Amino acid sequence: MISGQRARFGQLLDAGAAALEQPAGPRDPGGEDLQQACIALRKVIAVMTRYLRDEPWNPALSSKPASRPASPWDLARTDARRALFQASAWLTVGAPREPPHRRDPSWLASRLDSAALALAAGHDLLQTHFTRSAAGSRHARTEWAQVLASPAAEHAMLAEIGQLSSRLAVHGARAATRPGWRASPDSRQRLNAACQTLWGLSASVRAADDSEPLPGQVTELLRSIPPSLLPPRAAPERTESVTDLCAGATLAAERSRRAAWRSGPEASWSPAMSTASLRLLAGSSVVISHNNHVLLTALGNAQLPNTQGELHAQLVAAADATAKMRAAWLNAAHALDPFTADTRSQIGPMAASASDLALWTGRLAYDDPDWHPAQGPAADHRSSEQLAATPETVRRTINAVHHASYALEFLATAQHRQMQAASASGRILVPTHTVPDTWDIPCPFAAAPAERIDHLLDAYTDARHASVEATAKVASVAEATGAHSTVLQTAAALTDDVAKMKISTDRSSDRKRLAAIHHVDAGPVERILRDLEISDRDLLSRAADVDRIGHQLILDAAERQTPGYQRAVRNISSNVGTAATINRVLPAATASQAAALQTRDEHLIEPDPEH
Amino acid sequence: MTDKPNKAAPGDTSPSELTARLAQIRAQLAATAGPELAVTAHEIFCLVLALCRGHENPADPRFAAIVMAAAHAANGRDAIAFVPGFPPGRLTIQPEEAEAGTDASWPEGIGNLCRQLALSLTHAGNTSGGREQLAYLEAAQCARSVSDLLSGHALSG
Repeated sequence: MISGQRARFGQLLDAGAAALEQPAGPRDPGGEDLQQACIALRKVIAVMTRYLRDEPWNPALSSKPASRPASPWDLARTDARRALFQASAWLTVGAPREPPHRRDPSWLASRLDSAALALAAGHDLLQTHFTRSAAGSRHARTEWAQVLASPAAEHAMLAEIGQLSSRLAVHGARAATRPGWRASPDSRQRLNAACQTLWGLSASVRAADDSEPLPGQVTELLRSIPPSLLPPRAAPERTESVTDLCAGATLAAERSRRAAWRSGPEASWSPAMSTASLRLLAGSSVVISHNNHVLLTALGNAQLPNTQGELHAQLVAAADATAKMRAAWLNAAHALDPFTADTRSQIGPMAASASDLALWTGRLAYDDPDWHPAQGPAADHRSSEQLAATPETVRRTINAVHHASYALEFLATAQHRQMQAASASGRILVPTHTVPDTWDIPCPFAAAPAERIDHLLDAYTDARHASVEATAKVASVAEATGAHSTVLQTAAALTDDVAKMKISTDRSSDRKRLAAIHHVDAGPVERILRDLEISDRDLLSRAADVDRIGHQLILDAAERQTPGYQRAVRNISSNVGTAATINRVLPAATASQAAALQTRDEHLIEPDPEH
Repeated sequence: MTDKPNKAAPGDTSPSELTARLAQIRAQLAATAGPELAVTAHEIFCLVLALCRGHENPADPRFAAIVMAAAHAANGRDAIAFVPGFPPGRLTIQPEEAEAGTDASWPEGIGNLCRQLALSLTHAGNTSGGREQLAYLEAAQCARSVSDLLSGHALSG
């Protein structure tokens, strides 16, 4: 059984709004108690204040833009916070200290209490994507946190708060100004003033929206945010329908995204960053791409109801882009072949989730309830008729394909990041005999040189670009078919700049670090300091001086050798360490110095100088 | 939206050549023990990797199995290279040129070879200890996975 239906933030917002619109129950013949409604309204305002109290810019989540003039949305936010504070004050100042007896609460208070409860649940749902440090600062716990921390999401939240304020104001003002309520004139005035403030809030938000219109997709994205907790991992059974398989694949894709998002610096030490993990992930990504290609091709061949030629062309383009994504991931898998790592067999969460996703998309793509990558040639593709039985199955299939493709973007980015961290720690290995002779490493494997790691990183960069391209093509199909996954494209647009920035800067700094550690021109003393990860410029400079003095000493000694002198050691370069030093000295040596230092082979007959 | 047919790679092996080579390797495998087993196993994993890489054709219904088998072959090659005493000079971690052009039944031949390899490695693992045992058993698991994938035996999730 697939639990694909999870609560979304928008559902809780709607529940709050719906609570306000419930039909009124039987009225109290003696009149409703207005004070109860005031207290309930204050609760709702308190929850709304919590929505706006969370810091909009968190350096841990996204970079704060340089100082800029306040935008209409900045002003609206300031107005909203002030308005909520003011409205709460109107409802508090002068109110009786003792709350009225709630044995028979007013119908409006009941509605407001329900709304406050739904809104508080919504706020809690969003907060599950963050965590707080002991010092109180807010940090991202999931990939959705970056979306929530984006200015656009904050504007969408303001817009929701504005709409809610307007609704509250209507109900509150009606109670304050109409007969049938038990209240003092002062209470009525205070409630009315609070409602006018809420209308002011709503007007500020509308003004911001008029000035800088909020794209509808952002609101849709905000409303579609689920809680952070994912349902437990589940393997497909044999009984799933196409709808169940789509839900399972979507969930597996979400799990992959989460695992990819959480991965990173731990690759420098974690045993889960193993060759088995790297290869399983790359192989699974090829299979996922392949399954996506099979599904898109099947849909492209289907006689879709009300099909426009444009949709068919979009499906063909998406299938082609997915084939390129498959080729790019296959290239990444090949690029891994010459490497190994210091841990081999442990499977990390990212590789495990990618393997699950390969299985779910395979069960959807093939008409065999037992499909597995180990399946022989017997498995047939699922028919176009099954996938396109109804517009809803088309939407769900595209939704699953879109989620899977988007997950591959995350996986490629995360693999790139992991590879950088692991190689910077010297965990990516190659056989010692394949590295430059100047490296004196007395074991079968050595840290891979930076230029070879670059080749691997390039393969992952290509896989990411191909995944981004394919996801964009699938997104256009999702839009054309009305699949819910269109929100993914909005999420990508809100967070992509930050992700790109991380890749480019991390890579250049890691490359420099690798080059610094494995400086091929460094002498033995300098290399020891670099291996100790000494970065002090003065110490490195002194080490280089010591090496230079040593080299000069060797040259001077070679110069003083008597011509024709037969030294006891035939080959002073027989030791790898000595050879490296001699090789470094030779380019600066004179002919006589070079002759004294080079290897002598007694089997060679030296030419007679007379002839 | 059609996949291109498998292109012939350099170093093609004809069906009869591969069959003869596999028979030779199986005989060699049956005759080797001790440190030589690690070298033979390493060579077999390298051969499987090259064969898989040469046959990764998306139009092939076994595409997914071959891609995953290549990953397991590379893992097996790495595992066996960590057997203590493995001669470093025999390490050929750079894959051979992809081998293509063999007959359609090559996966079965390789599957059978890997099954035999898994048995030999398991035996070697069970009669050794420490890091050697770990490396042999890890490589045996990889050989089993390759065998299962190429023979079409379904694996548990």
